[in-house]
Amino acid sequence: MKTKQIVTLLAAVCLVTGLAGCGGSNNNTGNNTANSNSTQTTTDSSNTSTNTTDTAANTATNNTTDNQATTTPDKKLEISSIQGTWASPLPDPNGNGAKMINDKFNVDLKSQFVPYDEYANKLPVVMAAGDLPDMIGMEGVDANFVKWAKQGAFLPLNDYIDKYDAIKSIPKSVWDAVTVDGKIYAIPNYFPAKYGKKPIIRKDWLDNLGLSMPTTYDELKKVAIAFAKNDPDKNGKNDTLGLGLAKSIVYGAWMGAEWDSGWYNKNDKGQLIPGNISEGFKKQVTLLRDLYKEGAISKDWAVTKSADARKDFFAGKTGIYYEQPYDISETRFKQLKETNPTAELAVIPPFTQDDGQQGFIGLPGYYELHSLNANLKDDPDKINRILEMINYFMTFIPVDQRNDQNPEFDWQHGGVGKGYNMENGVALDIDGAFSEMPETYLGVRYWAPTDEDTQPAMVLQDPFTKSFVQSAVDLLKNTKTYLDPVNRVHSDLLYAKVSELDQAVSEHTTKMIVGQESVDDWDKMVQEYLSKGGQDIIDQVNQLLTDSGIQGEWK
Amino acid sequence: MPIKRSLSDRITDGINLFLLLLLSLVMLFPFYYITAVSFSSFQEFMNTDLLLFPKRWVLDAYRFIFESKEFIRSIGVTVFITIVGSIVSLLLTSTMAFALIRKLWGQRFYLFLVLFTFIFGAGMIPTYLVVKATGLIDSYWSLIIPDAISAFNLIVMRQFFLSIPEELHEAAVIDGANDLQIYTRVILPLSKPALAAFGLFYAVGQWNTYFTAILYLNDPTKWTVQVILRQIVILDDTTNTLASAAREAARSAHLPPPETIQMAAIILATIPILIVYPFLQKHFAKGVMLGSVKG
Amino acid sequence: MAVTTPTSVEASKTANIKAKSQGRSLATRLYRERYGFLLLIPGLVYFIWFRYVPMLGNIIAFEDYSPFRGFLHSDWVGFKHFARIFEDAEVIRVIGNTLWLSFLQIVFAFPIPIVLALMLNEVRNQRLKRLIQSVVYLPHFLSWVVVIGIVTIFLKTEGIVNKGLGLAFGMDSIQFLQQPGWFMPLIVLEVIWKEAGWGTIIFLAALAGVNPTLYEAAIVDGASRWRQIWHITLPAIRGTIIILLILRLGSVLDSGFTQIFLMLNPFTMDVGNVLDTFVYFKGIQQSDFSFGTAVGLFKGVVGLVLIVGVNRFAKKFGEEGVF
Repeated sequence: MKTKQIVTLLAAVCLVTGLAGCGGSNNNTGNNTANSNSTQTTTDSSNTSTNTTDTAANTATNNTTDNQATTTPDKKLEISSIQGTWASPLPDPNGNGAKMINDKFNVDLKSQFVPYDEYANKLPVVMAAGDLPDMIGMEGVDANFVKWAKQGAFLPLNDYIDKYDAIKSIPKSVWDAVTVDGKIYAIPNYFPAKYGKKPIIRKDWLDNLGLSMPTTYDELKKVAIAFAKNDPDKNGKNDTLGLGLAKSIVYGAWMGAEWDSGWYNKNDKGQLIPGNISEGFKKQVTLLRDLYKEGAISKDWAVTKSADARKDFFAGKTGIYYEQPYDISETRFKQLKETNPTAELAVIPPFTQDDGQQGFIGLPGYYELHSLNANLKDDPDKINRILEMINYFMTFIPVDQRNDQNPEFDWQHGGVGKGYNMENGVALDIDGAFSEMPETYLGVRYWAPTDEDTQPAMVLQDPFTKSFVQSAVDLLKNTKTYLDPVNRVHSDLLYAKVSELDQAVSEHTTKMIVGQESVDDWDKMVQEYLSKGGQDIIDQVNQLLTDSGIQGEWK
Repeated sequence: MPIKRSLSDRITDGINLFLLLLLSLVMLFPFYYITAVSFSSFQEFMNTDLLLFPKRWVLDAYRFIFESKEFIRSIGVTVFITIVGSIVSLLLTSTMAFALIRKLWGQRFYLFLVLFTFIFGAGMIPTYLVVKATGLIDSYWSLIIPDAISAFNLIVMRQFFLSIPEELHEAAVIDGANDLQIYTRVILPLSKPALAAFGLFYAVGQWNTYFTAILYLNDPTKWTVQVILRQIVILDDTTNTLASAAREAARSAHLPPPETIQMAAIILATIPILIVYPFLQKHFAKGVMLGSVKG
Repeated sequence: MAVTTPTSVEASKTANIKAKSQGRSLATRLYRERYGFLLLIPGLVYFIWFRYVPMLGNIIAFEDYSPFRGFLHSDWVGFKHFARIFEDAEVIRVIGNTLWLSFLQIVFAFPIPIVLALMLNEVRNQRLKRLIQSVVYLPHFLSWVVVIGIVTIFLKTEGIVNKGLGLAFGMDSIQFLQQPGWFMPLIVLEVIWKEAGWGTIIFLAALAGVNPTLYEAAIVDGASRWRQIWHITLPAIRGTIIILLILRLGSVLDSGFTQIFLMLNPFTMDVGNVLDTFVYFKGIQQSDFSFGTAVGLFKGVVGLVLIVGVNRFAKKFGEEGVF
């Protein structure tokens, strides 16, 4: 123990003070060990371990165990992981669910959960300290993920995944997202592409005013203005708004891919361009400007938080806002129904585009991912055990079988009465019982064969919420979804510059909506975007798409 | 003071008091607002623009928080690190501040050394590596030691010590006291207001420990009350510019709890440290040095 | 350095206190000051180990730092990140905004706690004084997120302030949060509102050290309240005020990121974008450690120059200064 401390201390001093010697020798040891023991096919030779003790440990295990060994489930493996979470309170690392995993898979799981608020700070620190665990969770693919993958922090998984049925079923469009230079560096987590935020409308207000569901921007404009001016809730007060808008235009008024911010439209050179500088988006901005002028959106929208815009909608003050059918909490819907008993909600079907298409932009099809530490490359036992666990938790259980009769589901959710309760034939997680459920600890979702298979309405109890979700699912079932190809390539220029450029665009469009700038200046804004680095991004992204043969597709 | 007060004096007093009371109202108001929200029903909150007088005062929000084991435990942890941390910080700061008025060999250099750290900070990663090398990771001491001395507090405390008349040191030296004894017998007793003030600064700093807890403690059962509070009052707007559509969608199941609960959490996390102040206040009373300094 | 031989033990000790170099060898001096050093060393060790050793990590300002590769193996890029701060012509205006805000803060927000402390000091009813004291320091405990949430509720177009102005003076609604002219005043007012009470603590502590007999003597001499404040109270806290002012100048380029970030919107961006928010929009949000460190170093150099300069200036005028 003492010596270990001294070693870490010395390592830290080396890292911090820059005694060149220790870094260099460290690398050599790492490579030698790798070469002499390696039986792997694809290993990046630049993979180096940053920590002396780690290398030593690897050598030791490699000497005592046979590298080629078939999986030995008898051997208890210690598996460490780090991942971000939105859960509150955090799961207890030594909770009952963890113990159940330990018994079932003969492992000793050491999980670490970090609130997502600070995860982006904590992960680099853990990495810099050479403490990177065996499994590393990330929220999505970003500049850091790509950089670290290129630098050899993560294990390429191409040669392993085919052995596992659930993992194998992940579609190529999603694998592309976690693939860097042809190597797969992470196992993504399922999230339905179809069920992102969609524009929803107060159907009862439409009925009250004798209006029909808008199908074009002109109709939408009329509806939104009528919602603001014609007392749609019949309370005799002028207290309603047409559309909920929040600062930074978090959700605007996109009624289909053409008008959204994803990469759908093309410029005159045939290059795919980002939505927020497209003619489609300009149309949306023009509409919002007109609505603002007519008082159909809040005068204060540009300083309103999206949480407050949502609050107004669920308090029954707004006619159009954004919600999703998947993975929602019922609280706010119940609230709306209680104070506005006649409220009815519906998703606004996407408008027909100039190119004849009709559909919303989809989500990337995954959310969160797990990478494996590159240091595991000499430990196939561990790699396989981890993938086996991920595969197990990823294996889809049809929604109608998620109950106490299904032993796998029952186990994964910690047992009836402990992790979940059966109500009306539906399994409902017990509030705050994360630590009872083995499912919590790997942070893996079932990979659904199709988005419809998630049947999000099934798990809901509140009739109002349930009927809204069911109607949304039914509508989206027959609606096409556009898969943005840019989710599947990695452009370093995009990562480096795009948020700054988007910021500028968002400033201009905000001013256009309130009339401080003219929408006629749109082209000037686009020119500014392009000249400040936007064109370089577009060139690079299109080049990458051509090289990899990836295109935007409707599904 | 039994001295006769003139009329203009009384008017000045009256205006002064009036202004102060007005100011107090302005400063109290938001706290009142937060309290009102925390005791109201979510339904009423949702449907009221500026909720100042809840029709019905309910305890739901507080019940919700007190049901969480984490909250109670984290208060315990935080009280502990606040007490120990403030004592350690005060001790280290006051000894060093005192040493720096003693005109030791190289004192200007040490002062500059301290000032330099006030201006140039160190990054999170190298600091973490040092904390790790010290063996503090996952120990409560990691919340106390790495931030034990604030350069700002040290410099200002030294200024306080400088204002203690030098004759007092001299007198002590003549009585045969060494620096250690001057520190304990002259400086500390005469610096109660300063110690109270800086003790409060350090205590509030410790009480608000948030980021270092997440950074240095891997075991969530050791986390402080602000970490738990932040999990309740999720700050979705500071990160809004980055929020991807996928995150927006995925977070739907973990929306922040109703505002009533958020406000209750703020109240509960603030009250314990507010209680400290009245106890320290008496040290700010006038004339502490009376009796030791004549003329 | 004059060499004198102390004639008596007492004289030697007096000399010791005044720390005039007596020309003894260094070893003798260090031995004589051993107790002083005993008190100094724990703090000194702290600063070296927890502040200076990590400070070496600031070399990443000259690298494309990757936590995976470490300090030694990240690519060396020289002044690239510093150049990035200045590549955009916008930076001129941003630094102008930052300095203007700091100036406003120093002129308006900095003196308020002093005035407030003096006012509190004049309250005769001790119980009332304590009560007011406890109330005014409350806002310090609210986070900026909460404070600005409340400010927004109050100041929005149909908020309580506009309604009040409309009723009282028949005024049209003012879009306080969206008009560039209101941005800086609001920022300063918010700071005053949140921190003024808290800021009094340090001055009240300083005032507690004033010898009451001085006031008694002044009253006997017939000095008015204002004269007492001017000649007794203010001089007692002058040293503290100067020190705080010098330290404040060391951070002229810091502006309180969270507050400004939450108050900024496209309409106020031109007048309100300060260095901290500017670099955030530029890339710190992608946890770009190297860029962030470069910005920190730049701000530090400016702060250091100002502090050293002002310190020298203060010393010329016979003040103690910071060092």
